Amino acid sequence: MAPKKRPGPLTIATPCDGVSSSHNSVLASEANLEALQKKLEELDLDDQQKKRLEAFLTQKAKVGELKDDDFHRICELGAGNGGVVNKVCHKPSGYIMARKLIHLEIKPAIRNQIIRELQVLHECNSPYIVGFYGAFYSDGEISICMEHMDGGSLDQVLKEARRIPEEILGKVSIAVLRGLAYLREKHQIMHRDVKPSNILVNSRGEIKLCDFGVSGQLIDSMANSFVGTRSYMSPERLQGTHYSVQSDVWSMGLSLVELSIGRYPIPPPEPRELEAIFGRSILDGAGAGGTNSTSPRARPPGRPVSGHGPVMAIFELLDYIVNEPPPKLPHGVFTSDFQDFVTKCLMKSPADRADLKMLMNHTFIKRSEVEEVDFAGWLCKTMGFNQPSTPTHTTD
Amino acid sequence: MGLCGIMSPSRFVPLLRAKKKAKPLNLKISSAVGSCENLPSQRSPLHSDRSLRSFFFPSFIPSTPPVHAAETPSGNTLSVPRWSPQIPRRDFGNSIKHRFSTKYWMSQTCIVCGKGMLFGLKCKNCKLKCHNKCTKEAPPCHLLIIQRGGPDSLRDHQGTTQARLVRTESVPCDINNPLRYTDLHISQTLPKTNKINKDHIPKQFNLTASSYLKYKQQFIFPDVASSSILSCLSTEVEPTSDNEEANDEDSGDEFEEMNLSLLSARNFPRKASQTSIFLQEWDVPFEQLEIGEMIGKGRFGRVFHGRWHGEVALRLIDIERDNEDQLRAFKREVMAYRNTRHENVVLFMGACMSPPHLAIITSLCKGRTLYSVVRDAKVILDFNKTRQIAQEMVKGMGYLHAKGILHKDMKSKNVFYDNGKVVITDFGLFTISGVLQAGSRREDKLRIPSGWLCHLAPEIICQLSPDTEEDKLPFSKQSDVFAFGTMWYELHAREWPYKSQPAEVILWQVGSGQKPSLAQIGMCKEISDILLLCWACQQDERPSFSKLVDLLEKLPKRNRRLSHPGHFWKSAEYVQ
Repeated sequence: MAPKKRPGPLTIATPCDGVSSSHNSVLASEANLEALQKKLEELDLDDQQKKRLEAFLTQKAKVGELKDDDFHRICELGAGNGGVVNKVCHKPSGYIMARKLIHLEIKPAIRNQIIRELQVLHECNSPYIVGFYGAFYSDGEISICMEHMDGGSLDQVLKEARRIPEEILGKVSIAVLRGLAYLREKHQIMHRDVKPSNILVNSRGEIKLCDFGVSGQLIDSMANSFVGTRSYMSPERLQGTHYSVQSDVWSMGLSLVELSIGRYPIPPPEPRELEAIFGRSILDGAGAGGTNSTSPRARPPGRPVSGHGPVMAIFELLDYIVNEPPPKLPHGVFTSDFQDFVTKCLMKSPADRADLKMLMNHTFIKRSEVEEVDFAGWLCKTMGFNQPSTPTHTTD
Repeated sequence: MGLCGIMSPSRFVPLLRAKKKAKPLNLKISSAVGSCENLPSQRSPLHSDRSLRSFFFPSFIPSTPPVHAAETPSGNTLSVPRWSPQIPRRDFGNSIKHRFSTKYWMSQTCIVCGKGMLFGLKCKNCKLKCHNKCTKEAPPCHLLIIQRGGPDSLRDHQGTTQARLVRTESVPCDINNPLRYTDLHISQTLPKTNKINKDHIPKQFNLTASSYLKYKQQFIFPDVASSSILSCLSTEVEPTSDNEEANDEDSGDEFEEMNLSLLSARNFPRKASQTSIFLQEWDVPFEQLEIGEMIGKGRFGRVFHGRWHGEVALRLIDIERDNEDQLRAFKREVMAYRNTRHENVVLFMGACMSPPHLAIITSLCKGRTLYSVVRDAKVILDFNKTRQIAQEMVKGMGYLHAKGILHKDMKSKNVFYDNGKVVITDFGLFTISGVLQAGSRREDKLRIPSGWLCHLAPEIICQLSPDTEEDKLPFSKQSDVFAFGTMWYELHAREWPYKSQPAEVILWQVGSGQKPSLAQIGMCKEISDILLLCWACQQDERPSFSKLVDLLEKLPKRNRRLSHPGHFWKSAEYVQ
């Protein structure tokens, strides 16, 4: 995923250019802002989105070169793949940022390559992509400084909400699709790691993607990876065959099912569990209802709602994804639009799966786009935040 | 430090003994402190307490070297040589030569000229440190002797006064060739220079501790001022113990108490099991190690360049505090290593087995890891070379398996290559590594070190789950063979299979029996045949290492010049 083009307009804040004098960078930033404005116009943004994006970029231009000493750690936000994310204050500017620290014991050449590859993030300016302040290396750690999203990730939100309502997921789907489309159209990259913990939200009602695979070298340099009881990887990717952005569509579909039913959907919940979740009997049963009988191998029963019980071995889970029917939404609880949307995302063959364009035109999305949903209000209520001072529930 | 070479009764070898025991003067030792953390504080009074020194029998009777107890079937019964003046002693004398070894320090002061030094000599017996050039002026060496007789022992048991050489260092010992009773007076480990004139046994040597001060002017080294003798005496103490004393329930001997507390502190029960008797032969006091720079970071800890009777590699093992299971597993592994001797297997020299300092001492491997050799584009690895490397590995692994040792973490980073010589390291430690849990353990997540999965056989892959514990994984001889297969692949592809693939992808592919694409690598059929045998899904289809010796031997030798590899591997992407 090496960038094809040189990091263009927004390189002023990069550590590589840190030596440039402040005078130059002011000039450069003005020039860059102009170029940027042109780019933003192509994005089909509403006024509020445009204003916010410009505000972020103006802010960012003031930040300048990022240094380890300039940060004050406020608290930990979470542990991502390969690193911790802290909420930090950038002392010179006073801005609050999310700083991801990735410990890497690598040679300077490799580390420079990673920093270089991360510079593409400067160009990723979209209302659906988490803003990027810069990346630098210090004392054995790569720091990636990003916009702080005060609502956290959707897996954190899910813990509070237990289940996320369909109309909220409609807004989530729109943001994810537009984010993926932006990455693909403007940067020719795919996300590769769509999952609830990589979808961030804030009290302004914004929904953004983060943590996409922009630096191949960074991925290769990771000393460890973490694999758990959940995998959002598409069957074709697990099998090692060619994969594309269709693979991200699968991951989105699986995430949506998880957020809808409140638990990772593999192995599928049994009717009894669904009954416990939704408080009424689900006629059609589990997502993979009836498949257990046709399954060649005996599968462990679905885990109870609490999430406890026997844990599937990792291979068993992955093999389920590859060889068993895909998960789906239970009948009778969600609109048929949403069910169909998810089903089209979770076709096992990437060729059968809907692509981004088809999904953008899906009735579920079209309906959600015109729906008035107070996402910010719902989030703040769910997370126990005070309503933001400037209510922004008319966004999206 | 003298304390620490000693682990259990069998290791203590009193040279002479008295039936009655004197109480050491002012010897204050906290009684029976079981925890190892207390060990240093137990030692320190011994080091500094002058009254304790006076308890030492300050004579130089035995230079019987650090003596190793003979391995006896009963475990606890020791063959204890009873020295008496009647027994000719080849190592007696009033002048002992230093056992100098060359050392370098950051900053040390020469004891002779008082000037600072970076390089110099250190006596292994009395710890005297001085410049090379100052050895002539150096005071004589003072071996340490503990006198265990009371005032009346002199009177009553002149012939059996017990004095004991204090070991200042433990010396590696070969458990396969334990010292016999009759060998005990022959130095195996001290250099010849240490043999002391046995004909001169001064009468004064039978002095007891209390009478020492009175007589000190009259004996030992008449040419050296007594005060300097005192100060030269090492303050190190080695607790003594042997069976008889152990049975002497009401001895009230504070030394006994000290022994007990030290023993329990070292996690060795009084009644040493067979295991611990084997192990203590290999236990090295951590304090004896000179730790140099870090030369590597492994899964289970860091590896340091070190000094212990020469250059060694020290693997410091990080285990969780108070994790008895891990400690037991560690000792079990050490137990297995103690008699591994093979050209292609790193030489095990000893281990520190007292938490929190756990370490494995091995010979220092020359060269670099096979991992870096294989990835060095400047290194030409033709078929003859890869075959030779593989043969060496296979021989070493076959040997380990014959000894009942599973490697469990066979990978190119654990193999050293130097000028055609191949040495396998770090075997068996994986299960105590805690690598899957330690440190960054996350809820519901298994930590997967990069490059690990492609070495794991399908039967292991299928067992992995977020709560996997290393020691529960079904490692076997066949799983070592699978990992060797990956190294065989790596030797030719010069990279791991599934390079850059996410863990989940490798997990599913290996677990479901897929093989990585061999098409691009240009492997000839002979090579891929061996690879696919090692990578067989069914454990019993994989060849043993001794079979692999044959298979590699049968590979046609190729002329380096005619390097066309015959039929290239032509296969579908996946070979089931």
